[in-house]
Amino acid sequence: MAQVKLFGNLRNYAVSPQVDIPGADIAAILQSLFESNPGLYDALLEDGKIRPYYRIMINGRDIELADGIHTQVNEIDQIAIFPPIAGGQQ
Amino acid sequence: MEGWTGKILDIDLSSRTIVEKSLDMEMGRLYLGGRGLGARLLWDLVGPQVDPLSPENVLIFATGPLTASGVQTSNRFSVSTKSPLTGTVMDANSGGWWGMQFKRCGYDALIVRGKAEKATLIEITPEGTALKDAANLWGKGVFATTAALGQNNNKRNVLCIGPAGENLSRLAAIMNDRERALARGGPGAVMGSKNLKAIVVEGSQKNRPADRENFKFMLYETGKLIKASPLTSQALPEFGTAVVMNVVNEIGALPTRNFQQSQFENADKISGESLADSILVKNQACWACPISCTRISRTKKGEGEGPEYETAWSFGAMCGVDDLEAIFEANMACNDNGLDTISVGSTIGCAMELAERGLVDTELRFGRADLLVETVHDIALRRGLGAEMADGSYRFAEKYGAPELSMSAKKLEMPAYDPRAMQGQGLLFATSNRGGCHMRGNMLGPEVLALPRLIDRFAYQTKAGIVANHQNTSAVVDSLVLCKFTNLAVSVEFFARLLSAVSGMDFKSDDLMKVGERTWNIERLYNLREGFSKTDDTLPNRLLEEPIAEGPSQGHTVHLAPMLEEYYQFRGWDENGVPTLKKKTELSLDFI
Repeated sequence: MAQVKLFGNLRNYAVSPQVDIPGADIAAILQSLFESNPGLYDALLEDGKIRPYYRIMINGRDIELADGIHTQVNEIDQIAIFPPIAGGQQ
Repeated sequence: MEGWTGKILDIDLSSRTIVEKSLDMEMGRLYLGGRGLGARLLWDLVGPQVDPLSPENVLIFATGPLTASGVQTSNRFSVSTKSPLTGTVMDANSGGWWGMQFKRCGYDALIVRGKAEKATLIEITPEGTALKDAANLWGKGVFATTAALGQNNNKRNVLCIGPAGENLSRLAAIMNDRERALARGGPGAVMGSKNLKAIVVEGSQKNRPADRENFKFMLYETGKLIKASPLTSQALPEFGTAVVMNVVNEIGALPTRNFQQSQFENADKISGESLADSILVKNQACWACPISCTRISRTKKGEGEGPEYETAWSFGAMCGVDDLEAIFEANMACNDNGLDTISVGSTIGCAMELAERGLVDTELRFGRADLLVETVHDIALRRGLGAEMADGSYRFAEKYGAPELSMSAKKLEMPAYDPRAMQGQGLLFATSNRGGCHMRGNMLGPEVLALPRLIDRFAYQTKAGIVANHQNTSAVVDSLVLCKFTNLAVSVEFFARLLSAVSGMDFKSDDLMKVGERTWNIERLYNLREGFSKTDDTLPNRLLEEPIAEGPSQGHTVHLAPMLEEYYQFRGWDENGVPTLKKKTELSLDFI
């Protein structure tokens, strides 16, 4: 099972900041995640799509640079989900 | 006052003369204020080879045409000088209330020259400007000095140095409103070298807009944009900047133990999330700011501002420390002594590696949270090993035969991003005019957070234009002078419309971007005149030659040479990084 890590205020909607979730790709992982943490659905999605400024990474690489929510996930992968973040930038 | 007051206060501490001069409005139009105006004035006032700690150096405190207008975040100001740490042109930028109050005194800028015979303070009130004896304050910390001089956020504001500046530490900051900092590059030492302890301001004038109706409309629209952006209405108010810690760590870009690693195993313990769950008391805003990113924290040792991301990193991962209380207390010690937290933490991290390699005899080791506060005091007071650390990591490491272990660019300690994991950031650090600095166009946005859109952080072709544009934009914001966080929600076009409404002059976004590019180029020309060259546009060997050993950024180094070549071309400079005559003419810099 892949390890899913939640950051920022997403932790407020989950039982734990870090959970092991089954799934063959990111879409399946999210589906499982929402089943065990229903509050995350509205926090993360808007009209069925990931909200602007929210980032999902797999092993430190943004899924946008891979296959998006169809990015394949392996057993020991680490998935990180970030809400909008800002600091020291323009 | 419609944007500019048209007046500059010029004080010579040697002759004790105080003169009001006119601001050349053509200069105002070309450079605006803040950093841009500071760089232009510095070009004229501080020639080549001036010792930064001599009376011939100057301090230029500058506001911008939007300062004190009521535009969101229009509280900021800058100080420009020749840096005693780097020898480059230097400006540092601060928030709080002092800048607003200084503008209310009726001046666009204050130039301080010479050297007072003994400890002195400057007091500017509606009754006039006076030089007063400050002997009873010399030796006092920033907190005690600020209180003694009657700090009252909205009415009377204190800017001062602490023991670090008095002892001419090249890492010394100038502090305002107790805990805001003009930190990088050692401006506090310049102030200390002039025997100038404090500048107190009480003003009464207003920066009224020329086009009141348009201004009200633009103010309202700007407020709506800031409120609508989750970055400025949620992320920053809720968690502050330290929320960046985990994402930078996740991608393998968090410099750890003096950049020996790029992930810190306990990053979450020193993150914004952990801060919110532990020592955080509340958030706080500067004058006219709706974003409210400042953290107020408390431990048994006291309550105060911070820690920000950079400070949580510099005393945290950089030193192998995961104790948030110790980090906050080191931050408070820096604030009270008047020290740059990035440079101090990084210098301590450098000392820790030197110690572990057996090159320096000290108890400092990675993870020694218990030694942080004491070491900060040692640096401020030039005590023991602190006397050598007080001049920054490069001079310290060089003394012990290992200058390559100073994680600095142009001797300014680099901030909390490993450029091997973010190629554009590497180009930024190497080319920044004031040295290793992220605030001149941070590539965190495009390379990590997809702001405005995501680019591959490992790619090193075609990064030059993005970096240069970010640098120019940062110079615009620094010259207006506004907080860069507004730029997360508000475009340069909006800034142009705000400026037009306040000043009654017609500014377009292209005009502002030209100001930014002009500022960048005059800074570059200043450094070239000082003897800097293409060989100084570089990074430590560790980042160029040693691949990251493990983690998501494993195997990467900074591909600087091809990026630099592309960058010079994009900038319109020759192959040695010198602005061409064509570029100088385009930017009205052909007088140089």
